[in-house]
Amino acid sequence: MLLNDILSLPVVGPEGRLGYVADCRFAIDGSPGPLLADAQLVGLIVAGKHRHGFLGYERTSVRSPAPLAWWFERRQRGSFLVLWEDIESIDDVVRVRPGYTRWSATL
Amino acid sequence: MRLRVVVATIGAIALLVSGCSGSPRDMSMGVREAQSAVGTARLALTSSEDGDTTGSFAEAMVDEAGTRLSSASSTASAFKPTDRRTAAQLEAVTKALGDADTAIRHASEALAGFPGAPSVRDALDELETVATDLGDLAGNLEAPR
Amino acid sequence: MKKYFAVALGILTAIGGFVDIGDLVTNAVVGSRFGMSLAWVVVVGVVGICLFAQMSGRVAAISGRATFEIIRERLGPRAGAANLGASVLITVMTLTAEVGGVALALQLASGVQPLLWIPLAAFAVWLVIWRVKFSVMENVAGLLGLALVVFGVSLFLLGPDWGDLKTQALQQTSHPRETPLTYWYYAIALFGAAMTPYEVFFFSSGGVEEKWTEEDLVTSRANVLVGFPLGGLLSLCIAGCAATVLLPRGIDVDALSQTVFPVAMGAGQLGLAVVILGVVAATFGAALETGLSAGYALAQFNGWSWGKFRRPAEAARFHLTMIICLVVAVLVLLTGVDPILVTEYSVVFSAIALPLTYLPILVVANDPQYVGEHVNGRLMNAVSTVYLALILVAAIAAIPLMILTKAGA
Repeated sequence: MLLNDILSLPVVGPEGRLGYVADCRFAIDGSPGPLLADAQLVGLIVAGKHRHGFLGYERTSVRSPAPLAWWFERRQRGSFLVLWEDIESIDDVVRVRPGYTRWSATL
Repeated sequence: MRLRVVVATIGAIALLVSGCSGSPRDMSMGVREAQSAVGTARLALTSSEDGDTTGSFAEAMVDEAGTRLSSASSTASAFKPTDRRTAAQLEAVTKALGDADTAIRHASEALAGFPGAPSVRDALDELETVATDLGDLAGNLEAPR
Repeated sequence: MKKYFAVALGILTAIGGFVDIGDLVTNAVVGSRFGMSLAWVVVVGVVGICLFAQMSGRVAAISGRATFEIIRERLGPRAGAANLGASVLITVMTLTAEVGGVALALQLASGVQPLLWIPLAAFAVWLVIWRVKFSVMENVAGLLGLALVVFGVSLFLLGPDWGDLKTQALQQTSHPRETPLTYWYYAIALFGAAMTPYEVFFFSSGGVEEKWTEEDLVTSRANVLVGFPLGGLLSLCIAGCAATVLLPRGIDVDALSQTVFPVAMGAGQLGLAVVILGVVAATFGAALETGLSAGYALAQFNGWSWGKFRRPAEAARFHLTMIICLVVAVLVLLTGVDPILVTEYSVVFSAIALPLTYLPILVVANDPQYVGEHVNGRLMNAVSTVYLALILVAAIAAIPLMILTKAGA
């Protein structure tokens, strides 16, 4: 599967529609390679209305220029991280397992 | 999404309204283009006489003035007169543009120096007369916009 | 000593490289119709291009990554691809205008029809891209483009009423033959001509080509901060020449010959020869830059190997892209479309496409993961945010204005 196919798919939870896949979250903690360790998929970022990512403003350390940071913070409101283990299936929609946890999407 | 549709519709309507219907302004625009073309040809001739430009440069300028004049004619003829007054205006404009076309052709011949071609001096005089006519005409027409 | 020489050379090429067919035509058109009353736009545009080039140069020098690698990383593949498509389209449109400009200038020099010059000019562009070393290419085109300084000389020789030009620039005298809509349409066109996106792709990719490091930042900053404003001054001289010679005679510029004519009037046949050389060099140099920019953009986005520092065989897709772009430009021009018309549209579309590249660069110039400690300072961010707003307004207003004014007719 290509990540490109997942991005901006609708996300459905047990209680109904949750939003869209805005981004994918990786951690570089796999087996060590020559340059970097392999990246592991941690989970998907689900955003309420928007299908696009946040241009890096999901990191709390990046706060400038202020108007852009403010704008993307507003867009981020209501977005959350769903761990890869909590994903039930992916076809035309991404289905989330019942009893999943909404993790904070900020870094 | 809805906003985009509204904007696109308004844009399309504006395009239709502005693009299709000929208006008396088209005549003024055509006259303005013709004035610009005649002015260019005059500059080309005078500068070529003064030795400021090369022959091929002046010829290129006059050629371009000729192209501009045909575009001026098509601009002006986009207007379809609806009453007697505007019909008379259009007739005057068409005649003036025709004279301008002849004058620019003579300018081009004068520069090329064919046997039997008018002298640069004569071509300049002709352009000057045309320019005066166009100026009078522009004064009588509605403002270009 | 060598370092000063490098700075001086960089500044000179930046001046010569700033002016391309878009600046030549748009400034002359505006000068002939509005006098100097849009001079403020050139100033605003020059400050903008300095900001933009400074940010993208810094990002390129420190992260070692050029504009479109970053756009793909930051916007993701889908939004990134839309961005790429629009940017490459505008760049190819600009390339078309530049190749047409070379042909028109050669026509003025020789009297031979531009249709015959077009394939020849495009072939020469390809040959230089294929064979000539990056630094040689950039310096020669930039230095020869400096011949355009003759516009400034001619303005002095024409001896205009300086007070009158100043009044036009500062007091916004009225233009009985124009409407506020055409005024603002040409304001956007002039802004787009000064802030063409390809200049920035080229500048930052050039930084990677020349393997800039943190130390080169000083040089690159000097090139931009001195070279571009001087290039802007040159643009104002072009407008001033048109305002002096053509505006009082009621001549609207719609051809390259009218653009350079004031030089002939001020400085005679010698001046004419110099200015035509300058136009050929400036448009040819810009054709090289736009051709390369299209190649850079596509190759960087798709992760192909790119750069003139590699042999063409090692960057085959990069070179193939540029050949295709040149062929497209030639085919468009051979339909007989007026290159000046292509130019007038290309500067407006440049203004429309500008936010697509400006926004990602602004974001990344604030990202410590890319530029480490060299993130934008407070003042820089304040100014560049104001410019973001300006660029957005210009981009949004451009199409409605284009329709309402029938493209500035």
